[in-house]
Amino acid sequence: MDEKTMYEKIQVSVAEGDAERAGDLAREAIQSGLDPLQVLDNGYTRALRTVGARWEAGELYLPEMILAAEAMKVALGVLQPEILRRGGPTRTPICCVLGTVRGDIHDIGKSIVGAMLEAAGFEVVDLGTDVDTARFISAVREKKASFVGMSALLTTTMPEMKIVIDELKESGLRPAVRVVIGGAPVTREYADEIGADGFAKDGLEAMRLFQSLAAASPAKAAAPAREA
Amino acid sequence: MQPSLRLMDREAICRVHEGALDILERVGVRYGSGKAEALLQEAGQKFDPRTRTVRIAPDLVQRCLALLPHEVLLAARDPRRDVVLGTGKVHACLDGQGTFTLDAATGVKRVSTLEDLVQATRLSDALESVDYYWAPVLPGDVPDSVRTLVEAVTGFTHTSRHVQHEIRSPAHVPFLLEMFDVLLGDRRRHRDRPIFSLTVCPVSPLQHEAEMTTACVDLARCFVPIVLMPVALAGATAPVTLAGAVLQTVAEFLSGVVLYQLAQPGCPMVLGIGATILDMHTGLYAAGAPELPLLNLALTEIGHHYGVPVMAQGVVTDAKTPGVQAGYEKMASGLTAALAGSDVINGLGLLDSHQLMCLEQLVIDDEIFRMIRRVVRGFEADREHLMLDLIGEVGIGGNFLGKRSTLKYLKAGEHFQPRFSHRGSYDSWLRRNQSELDTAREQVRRILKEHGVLALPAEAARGLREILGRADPSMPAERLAMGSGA
Repeated sequence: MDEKTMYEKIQVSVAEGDAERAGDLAREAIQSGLDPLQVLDNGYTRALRTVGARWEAGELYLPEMILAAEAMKVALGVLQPEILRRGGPTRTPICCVLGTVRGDIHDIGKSIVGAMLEAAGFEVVDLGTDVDTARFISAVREKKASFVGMSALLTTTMPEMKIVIDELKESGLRPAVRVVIGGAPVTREYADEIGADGFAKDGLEAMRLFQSLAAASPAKAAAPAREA
Repeated sequence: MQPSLRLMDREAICRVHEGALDILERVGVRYGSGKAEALLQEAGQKFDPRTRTVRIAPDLVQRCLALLPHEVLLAARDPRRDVVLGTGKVHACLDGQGTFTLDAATGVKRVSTLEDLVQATRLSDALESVDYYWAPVLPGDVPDSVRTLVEAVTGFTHTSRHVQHEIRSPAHVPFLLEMFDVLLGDRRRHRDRPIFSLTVCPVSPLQHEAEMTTACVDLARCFVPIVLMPVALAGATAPVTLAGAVLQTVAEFLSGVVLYQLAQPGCPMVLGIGATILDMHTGLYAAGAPELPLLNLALTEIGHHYGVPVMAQGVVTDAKTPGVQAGYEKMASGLTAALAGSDVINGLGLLDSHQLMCLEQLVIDDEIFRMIRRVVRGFEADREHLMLDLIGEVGIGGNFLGKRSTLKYLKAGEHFQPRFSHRGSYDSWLRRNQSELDTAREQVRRILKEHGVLALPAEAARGLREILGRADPSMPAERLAMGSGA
């Protein structure tokens, strides 16, 4: 298969959210001698960005974004080790730690944001719900995360957000981390009050906010989504 | 004769029921509350301590269903305003619970205050459509530690109707029971005069919130009526198909029935409908979706099949202002829920998918629901109403305006009388020179100025204030006074 045809097929596999095909094509691309970094950038990343743009334009459903991101992840799993093996420039995605705060088991909003961020090329570590401060902190440390995203649906659990931010300060992690919060009762004023770096009202807003914050701060490595 | 809408046939209802039993037995639920888990274990149900999953046997579900009362009394401070759910009458209540208030004069959306809640409550007390109170908005200037107690006290004070609300924490239970002592003389009288009822929302799929559930178990033991309202979002926290969302809602409801009937056999319960679709472009709750009427319809039929009253979600909208979208979405959801025979419809007063309170919208919703009530009332077609003799009497080419019977039936409510909608000539509308919003705002102003709420006896007001003061000694005195009217 020639390169052009390969990229076309990759495009289709991502657009259709066909994870199995996406992985198979990645393997085939490597076997046929194509540069895995090129395949990632010009094939998969480009495809995902197209899907993202179409979703933003209201042409696609959320599940299509999610399935496309899944296909991307599978391909990345095949390409990443090969890229590392060849010792070339890496594409280490920016890591975001997400969680719904302690005492709150509402999950769906945060999960949607997580899916959006993955589609945008971030690495997402989703800690789930009812996440206490210690787990947020240790995940940030362990994964050297650049972002923390916190969600709360209840005004009674919102105060946990401030506790996590304060603990990030205490442990000296705050300067290297951007904190974004969300949830139906959350407001910009509240985000400012507790010292968060931003807040978002829905998945699309969150994705754009994370992208603009990532672009504004010096990153350790380029995320696929930011690659020109 | 009264109109009604039908959707499910008996076989479909049975399939949903069997499916729900299967989910509960095979997949189970998580209660999160140690108290709840203990009750289920004592009843011999399978509990996995690692996942904290409880699997519930079908025969236990059936036994608990049989304990549910068919009628649920929601008593009011003014007994003339008592509500009984399950008699076939369609009621409406305030929508709960928004976080923001829309100031229609300035167009500004802002975090709500206690003053907003008090005003909304006093306004609702005057409105014919509102059968009982559910705190429509969350006062952001009240400490979280006592907020739900303050919301309950605001209800007890600023309306004489039944108060329904949620309870967030087991720590609030003793204070609530003390309030029953103050208001009823003795908390044990609450069983016969339930002036307070609970709303509780499981978190789909198949989870209950630990703290709330523990508190509800404590109150179920006092026979406090419980509206169990799963909020399944089709395509996100429930299957994308409406049938799947219905089935999951039923499973979640039944898991609540089992718990609260084990806690207190015969505890009155209501099936609450919080389900709708997730909008697949924004990822947000879609209250105005036409799928909502279908979910209301199906779940109302299933609830009635179980012999339990149903609270539907109607007169609701995703619109952010009192305008065009709010009008059609609220009427569509409200009218269909009422025609389905839902025992109570919540939705009055909020915009933006239950998040944004608007006083002007509340008076408009009152009009909407009064219209809905007229439709539901139907009409009589007996000899008297057919008016054969009168038609003969008026004859060919006459008119009926001056006839005594015309006046008699008008006064008896044969024709709905609008209080908000404009009727009349186009010119009369031009001359009035007032937008719909201005009309609503004028009504809000007039009602708040003129309407007197039946006052709480001074001793009761003091008693409630004292309880709040103990629940949070740091709360400012003016806050206490505003909420408790003392």
